[in-house]
Amino acid sequence: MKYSLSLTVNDEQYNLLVEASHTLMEVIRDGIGLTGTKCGCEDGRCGTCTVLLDGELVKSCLVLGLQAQGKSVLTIEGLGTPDHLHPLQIAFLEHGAVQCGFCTPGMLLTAKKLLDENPNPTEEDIRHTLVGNLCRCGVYTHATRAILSVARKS
Amino acid sequence: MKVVGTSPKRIDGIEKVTGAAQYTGDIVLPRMIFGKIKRSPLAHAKILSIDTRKAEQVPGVRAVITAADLPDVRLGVLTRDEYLLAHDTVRFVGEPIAAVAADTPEIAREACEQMTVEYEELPALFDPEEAIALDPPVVLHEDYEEYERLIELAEMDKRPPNLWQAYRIRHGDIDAAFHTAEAEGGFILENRYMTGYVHTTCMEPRAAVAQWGPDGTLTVWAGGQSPYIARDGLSRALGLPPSKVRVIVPFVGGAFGGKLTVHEGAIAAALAKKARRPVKVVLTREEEFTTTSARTPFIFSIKDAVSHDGVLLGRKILSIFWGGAYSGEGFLKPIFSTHLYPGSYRLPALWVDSYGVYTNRIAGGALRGYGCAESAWAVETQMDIIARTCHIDPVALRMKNLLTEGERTAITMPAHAFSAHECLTKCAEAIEWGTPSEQPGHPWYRGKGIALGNKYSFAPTAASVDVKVHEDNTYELRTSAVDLGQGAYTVLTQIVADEFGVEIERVKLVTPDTAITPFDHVAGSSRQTFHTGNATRLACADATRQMRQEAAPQLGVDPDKLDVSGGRIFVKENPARFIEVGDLFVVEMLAGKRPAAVEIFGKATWEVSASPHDPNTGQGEHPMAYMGHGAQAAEVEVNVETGQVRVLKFVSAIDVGKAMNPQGVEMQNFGGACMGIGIALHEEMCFDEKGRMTNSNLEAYKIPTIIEMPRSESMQSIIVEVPHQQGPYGAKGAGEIVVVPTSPALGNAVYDAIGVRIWDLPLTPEKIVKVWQAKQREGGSA
Ligand code: FES
Ligand code: FES
Repeated sequence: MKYSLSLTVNDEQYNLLVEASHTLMEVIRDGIGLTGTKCGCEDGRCGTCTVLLDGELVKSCLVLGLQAQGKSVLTIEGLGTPDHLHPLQIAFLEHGAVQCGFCTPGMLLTAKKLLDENPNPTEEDIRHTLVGNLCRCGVYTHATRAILSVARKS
Repeated sequence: MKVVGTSPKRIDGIEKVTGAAQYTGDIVLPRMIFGKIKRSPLAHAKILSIDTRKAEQVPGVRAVITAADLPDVRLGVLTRDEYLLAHDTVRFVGEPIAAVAADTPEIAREACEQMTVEYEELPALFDPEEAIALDPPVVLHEDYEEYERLIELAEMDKRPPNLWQAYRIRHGDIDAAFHTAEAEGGFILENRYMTGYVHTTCMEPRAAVAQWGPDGTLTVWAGGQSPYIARDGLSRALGLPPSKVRVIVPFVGGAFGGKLTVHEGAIAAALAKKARRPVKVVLTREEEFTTTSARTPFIFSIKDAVSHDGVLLGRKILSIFWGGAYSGEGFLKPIFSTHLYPGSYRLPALWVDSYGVYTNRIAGGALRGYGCAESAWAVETQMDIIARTCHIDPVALRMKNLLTEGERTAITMPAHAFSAHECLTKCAEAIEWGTPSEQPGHPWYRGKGIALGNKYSFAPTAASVDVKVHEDNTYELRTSAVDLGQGAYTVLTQIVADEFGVEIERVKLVTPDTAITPFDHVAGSSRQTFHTGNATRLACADATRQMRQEAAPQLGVDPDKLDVSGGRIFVKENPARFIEVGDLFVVEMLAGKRPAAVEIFGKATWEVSASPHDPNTGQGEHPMAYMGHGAQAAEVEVNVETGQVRVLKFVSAIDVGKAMNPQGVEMQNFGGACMGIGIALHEEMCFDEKGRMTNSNLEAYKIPTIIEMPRSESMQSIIVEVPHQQGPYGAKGAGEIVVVPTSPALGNAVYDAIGVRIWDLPLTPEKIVKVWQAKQREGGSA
């Protein structure tokens, strides 16, 4: 049976009918069609599906869609646009923190949350926060440098 | 203005940071449905019957297929030993048996569960050393002799029935080498090594979308390493002429060797045909682990003859590649793994026997370094042991035995662009080799380790590139080289920019699509900068030749007096005399004027031939395209109570001939270090006694997180540039050499810290504690 779900994604309001069993990741990707949120494992262990739900970091494959009722979601598509990139998006490109790009959306949102809360993180803070975002291409060193550079500028 | 040699932002970067990049799993087509694969729960069994009736009745199911729905052909690159869907036998846990397409992935999964398969379980064989016997307890492929094979095995009296590859190197008098060592006070050192059971673990699981056109043309979207290998595989599996198959490569979320074949694409296609709808198949993480490219282990036995002062006299190696149920994507590993041995050191005698065997496990696959990362574990640990045995510094010992430029190696091929000295020297300097680590105190012990590596790039191979010149001074590059994350699109674009003397923004890229982009062999074997780079330069030259030709009458001079740059075709001796690119295209056909140029379209194919691999001697003048070199060093800290290893500092010095994009090289260096650290220290696929993988998720199979990496200021990337005479601008590839020395560098550092060796990768805490405790019992100390 389908249930109605109202939520805001990247400042746009959506009213949808969703299966109770569907995760927020499925709602975002399949229901709304925003595929920047990735699916690397479906069991909360890779971090590629990371989004911000009412400002909190969540792995969207671990949250049911209906749990987002009335809430507001930020996905990678809402972080910045090609014309108005977020400073982290620019820094990731400048510092070479993007290889295949599959982990990038999740990593960027995690980094954004970190800087929102702690504009001046140490490398330890970054390591502690990014530990849930796996990257097989191994961009960790460059991502650290990118995040530190944004922190320094602000 | 030069773009080659600088580091512009990657040209596919904006899409990637904004979430706009479309990967295969993101594709949605009208009326598209979803496929799931029914797999074997047993490691070895006869299939007695498959009953699909209940599955077909599940509401929402649109198609069910088994082997009966497919052409009766075996697949496999050099040994055709595998069916897309099992016929009468399954040989590993996870082998595809049937598939379902349904309105949702959940329904398809449910229908797979509703299928009944009756098996007669057969005894399974997992141990490679048992498998290689002349009378093994189990024979996996009774019909092996009937299989189509495109490669010759080394001669032998009788082939062990589970053997699928045999390769030898024969050089010099190996017995004499051992005699000399013995007679003249030298050393004979014999050890056995094993590499770990690791997995590619791309963050993007394998996926495919298949759609049939009304004319019977199949289009498959699949994020793989080679659209043309994919096209040929689909054509064979489905019995279609190649021209009826179109493969489009969307963004790829990492490959590392794990995305060469497109079995799920062929399954999606067969389902789509039966369901008359587009079908998408996306593998789950568990399917990724249990059924796609694993770097299965090698077992190496090495026996070295060394003079008393550390000169290598001879090396004898027996290696067994622990293959799985099929030759799979590891089909050339027993051969290519041997390329490492002659690549760095002078070996008056080299004697190698290398075998690949079948066992009832997942097929051995490709993973960055294709055999060389494995042989380096054995060879470079052995070099460390030799140094310590002869009381010579490990760097000095290596230097003493290095080849020199132009010298014939133990497989005949001369060493060229031989940069091992420079890589080793710079790497040693950066890690402050010779300065002992500061000791933090028990239970932590620190040490440093270094290792050298080389990585061949295979041949024969070819790449074609097209370049279309647009009237608005824009240059369109059409290539089937795939960007898997390594930055190929950016590097190739940089080349086009320089060849036409324009800014990089003036280059447009058409990404791999077999309907549009020309042949390129594969995004593998570190070959794209080298081969596709050369093809790109030639295609640009072809285009500028046409531009000069077309401009000559307008400028009233011979074409060879003209040059092209920055959107102008100008007289070399008087650049003020020029026309613009747009002037070449003045088309006023309707006014009766002949256009200067209708189409300017540069085309080129770059081909590298090779001397054939002689499976009995391994000798050849030119058996590969080129050989790259690199050295890595690490400082580690080992806790002897918990067995934990922390990498404190890591240096990677690799020779790329010419750094086309220095930041890209650094990304390979650090990315390789990251993967290499995982492979060396903790990655390990585990199996139960029934051959089932027991850690098929990302928590239990642990790839490195940011925590496993040294802090960012302790990572150092060193670029060495010793140009290769055939490389574009002298360049060589960087993609694989960056993981070749990693495991031995770390293993040697662990030895330096605690004074004990571990012979089998990975260097897990349990093994470290165990060897440490054994050493304590024997009364040693660090
Ligand atoms: S898909 Fe959600 S954590 Fe991996
Ligand atoms: S960039 Fe490829 S997984 Fe992170």
